[in-house]
Amino acid sequence: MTALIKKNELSLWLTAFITLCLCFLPLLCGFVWGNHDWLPLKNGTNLTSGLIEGRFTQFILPFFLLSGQILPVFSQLLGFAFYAAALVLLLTRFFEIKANNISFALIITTIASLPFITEILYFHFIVLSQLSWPLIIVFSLLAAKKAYPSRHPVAYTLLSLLLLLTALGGYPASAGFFITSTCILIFIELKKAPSIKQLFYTFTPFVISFLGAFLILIMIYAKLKAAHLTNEMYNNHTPNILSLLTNILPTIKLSFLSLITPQPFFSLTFKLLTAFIILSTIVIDLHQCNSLAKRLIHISLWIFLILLLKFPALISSDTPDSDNYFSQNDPAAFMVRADFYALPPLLLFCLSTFLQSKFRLIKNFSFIMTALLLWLNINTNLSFAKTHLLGFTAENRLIERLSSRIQNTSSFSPYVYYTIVQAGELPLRQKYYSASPLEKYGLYTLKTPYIRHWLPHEYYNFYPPFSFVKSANAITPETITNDMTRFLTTRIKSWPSSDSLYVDDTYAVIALTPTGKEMLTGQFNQLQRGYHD
Amino acid sequence: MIKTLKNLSLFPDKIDLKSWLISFLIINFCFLYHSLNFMWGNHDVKFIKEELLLTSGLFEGRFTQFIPYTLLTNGQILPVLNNLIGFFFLTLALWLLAKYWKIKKSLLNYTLFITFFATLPYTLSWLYFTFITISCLLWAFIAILGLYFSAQIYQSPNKLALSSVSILCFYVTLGGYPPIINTFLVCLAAKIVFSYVFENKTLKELLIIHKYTLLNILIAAVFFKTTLHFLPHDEVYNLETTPLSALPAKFITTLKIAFSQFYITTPFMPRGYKLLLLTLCILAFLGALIKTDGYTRKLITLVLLIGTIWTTSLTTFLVVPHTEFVSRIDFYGFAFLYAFALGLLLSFELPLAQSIALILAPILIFQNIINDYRALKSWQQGFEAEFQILDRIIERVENHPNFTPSRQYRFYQIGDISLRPAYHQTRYDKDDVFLISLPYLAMWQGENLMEFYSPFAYINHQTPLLTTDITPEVYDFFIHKAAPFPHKNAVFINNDIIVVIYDQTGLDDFRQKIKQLYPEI
Repeated sequence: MTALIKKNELSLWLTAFITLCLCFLPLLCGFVWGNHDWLPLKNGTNLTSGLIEGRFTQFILPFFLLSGQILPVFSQLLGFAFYAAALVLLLTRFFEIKANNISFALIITTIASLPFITEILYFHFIVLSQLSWPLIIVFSLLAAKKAYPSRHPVAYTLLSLLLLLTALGGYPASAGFFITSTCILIFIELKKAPSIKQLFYTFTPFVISFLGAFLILIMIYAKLKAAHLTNEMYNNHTPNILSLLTNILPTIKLSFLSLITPQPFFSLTFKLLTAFIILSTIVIDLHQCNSLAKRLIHISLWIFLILLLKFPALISSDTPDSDNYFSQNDPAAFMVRADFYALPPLLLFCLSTFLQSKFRLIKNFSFIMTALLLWLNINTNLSFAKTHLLGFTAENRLIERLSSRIQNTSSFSPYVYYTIVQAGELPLRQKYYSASPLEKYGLYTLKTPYIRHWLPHEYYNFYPPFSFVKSANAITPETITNDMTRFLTTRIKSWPSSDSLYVDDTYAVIALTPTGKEMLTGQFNQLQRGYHD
Repeated sequence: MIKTLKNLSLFPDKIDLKSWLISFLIINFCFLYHSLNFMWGNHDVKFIKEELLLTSGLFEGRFTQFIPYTLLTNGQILPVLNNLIGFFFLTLALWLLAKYWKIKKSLLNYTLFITFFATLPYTLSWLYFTFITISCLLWAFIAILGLYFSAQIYQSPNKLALSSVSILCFYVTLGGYPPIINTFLVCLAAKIVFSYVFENKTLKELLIIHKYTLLNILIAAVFFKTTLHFLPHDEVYNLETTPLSALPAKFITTLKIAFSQFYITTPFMPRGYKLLLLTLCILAFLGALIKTDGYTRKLITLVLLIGTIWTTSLTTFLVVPHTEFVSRIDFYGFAFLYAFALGLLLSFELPLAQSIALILAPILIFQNIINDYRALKSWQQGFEAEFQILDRIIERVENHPNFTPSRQYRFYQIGDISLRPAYHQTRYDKDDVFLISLPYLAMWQGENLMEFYSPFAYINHQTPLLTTDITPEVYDFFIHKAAPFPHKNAVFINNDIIVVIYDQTGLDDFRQKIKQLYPEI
């Protein structure tokens, strides 16, 4: 056992794990959930729960480790343990970085606390799997690294491919972890001045593993779609070669842009600091090249790495200008959850490069810079936790009031199953966050509500002692009554007016927001016209 | 940096680090329930949502109060971290105090000393307002740092540099929370007793060593008063000082107050607990008298001890407002006297004194933790209960037929409901507003509270309720129909104003005011 896990690795893991727990202590103890989580929280998830969007491995770990249950404290704790292990193994076994204990501890706490993890914590039902993909990918990387010097290169390559496929099957954007780490290994290997043959043999298993895993993934998607187990969705479409090529230049531009664009919880200071760290590493690396040819190779590699940091944007057919919900609100190049997989390995390498410097001045400066980044991380994470907690409380109070109003109407009966039509959503996390003027996007970190309008049966049935809401959430023309018509055409006002609510023996209609109200009345008029035509 | 710290004997060794870490963990365990439950209210409401600005404390003359928040958390009040940072500084302050007083160094002694003070229920008073927790616990550290540097001046070649840093320390802390002056004087007086008893120094020698400290405090106080003079602060209660002519008479009053602190009970500090603390003090002071040789020196020790006790009421002596038996002021004064007593017991060579300290300190720490948890239980239940009432009131307002969320109303809250006392029925001699009786839903924060969880922003924060709003209709409602919550007439809404009535006392006051305004109606 001691040979398997080294003592310093154990203490580094513990340091990273405690840091993560500390950063998200309010969420660990507060048990915040919502959005897709309501039903899984009650009923758990099963192995096939992710198939609808093609994520065929997403629930393997929760199923086998927690019987598919979402558990307070434990689900996240287990995720943190896996993620901390991934970072430690990446540092000590894959990059094989040598440093003193203090530098190691500082690096690992800073990287573990990087706030890219915040968006992963929004959805409770996938938190364990999302946090475990880095560990599975590190095992895949280690297998690929072991292939060339071993006597069983094919077996190791195959193992690497299978592990990577498992991670990609759960969340394709996790490929960022594999790609970034592999690119960094190239830089590390190049420092050893290897022959081209050596480089070829060393990195062939990585290439085979990556391309093989993606090819199989595309085939599995095709099969699942053909069997109607998976819907065609924005996050499981298959890119073609032409779109990949045309996406290269815009993606490089977006990749650089996203390094300096502030997003909710990612202040300009944080972005500039991380960009400065990456840029300084590039400068140091280029400075160490002793010929123009080498320098050009390194520049190309860095551009390639920067491009692949935004791998999801590269394979995405959406551009931020297209008229699509996710492109408008959560473009692939600015997805914090994608950064969670791509940026920590790179920053880990950058900070290690600094702290290993032979120059005392650089070492001291980087020590201060790393400590500053660590402090910003802790502040950002706890600020996220506070916003999350207060927003969750506010939205839950809103559900209580909405439920209470519905159940207090004279026509309400607990023995009837209602179709609830909720017009509009009220995301409330933003109330507890002071945004800076330059910030962009932040769909899951800040803007998405816990109460989704298309899932009323999940949250309205959550707390009451009896279920009273059907899973349907639309009005069918044949059930429209005169009372409902009068309400929707003349009386309706938006929440909290008493005329924001209509209850008969089939429907409960709530106009939650003015926009929602307008949409609902518009749709209702169309529906009525269509029915009479 | 390391060299400077070593020169100042501030570079921590293994005992320092271990005792600091163990104490820090115990302190965090003691207030864990608070750290995990994120209770806030009263002054905090607006700041929890938005952020603290450097200028947020200026209106009451606290010009440095929010520098620590701006530097450490970008002006945010963050759950968990707020307490962690505060306790970090408090632990550091007490470790430095142990060094300043030269308490006999051992892992056990330092751990007991730090933990005993930090877990005293006085610390709780800084957790009630989350918006000043970090600053006010940091001031303790900076104040002791100032004292520590001042004590080094006598034998240092860098007198000017050390003096400047000390003055800055005293000035910054006075600018953050003026009652910190208690800490300056209690700790200095205690230091003099330590030196007199254990180092056999004469009064003259002590004056030569500590004249710098007194001078630095004086200079900082002058700077502080001058700064206040130029600041655009409001005329608030906590800036009024006692006139010079009244000081002699007040000396005796404050001496009485200082001594009565030993037995007067306050919330979460019951009689038995106070008696145990008194026993600690009596044994320590007796020990100091026994340890001193000669009747004259014994008499001087006695006078010094009485002087030290008196300094715990220095703020009460210096200012007009009521400051006696207020936990957060006693945190800076009387709590240090208890620490002084434990420090004395831990420093005696006599095995009996050591044994007493080693028996009493763990018992007292255990009692501290029990009292803290009792308090936190009452706080949490009070917090929940008050916010449930707020929910019900918001539902009443937003469901009112006259209410339209798109309109802007001016808001007025009549009275408040404080529910922490409902969960703590034990009797005590003196109430303490911060420990128990202040509400989370403070009357003057009503408009921020109404909108806190609501999806809408319907309060006009710019204009208050005006005398012209009291129309005959409004007058009639408040004089004849209004009643406090939960009565249906606890909420009044017309086109412009929302008024919520929380309690009868508030309503009576309000009726009195509008009757005076409109005697003709």
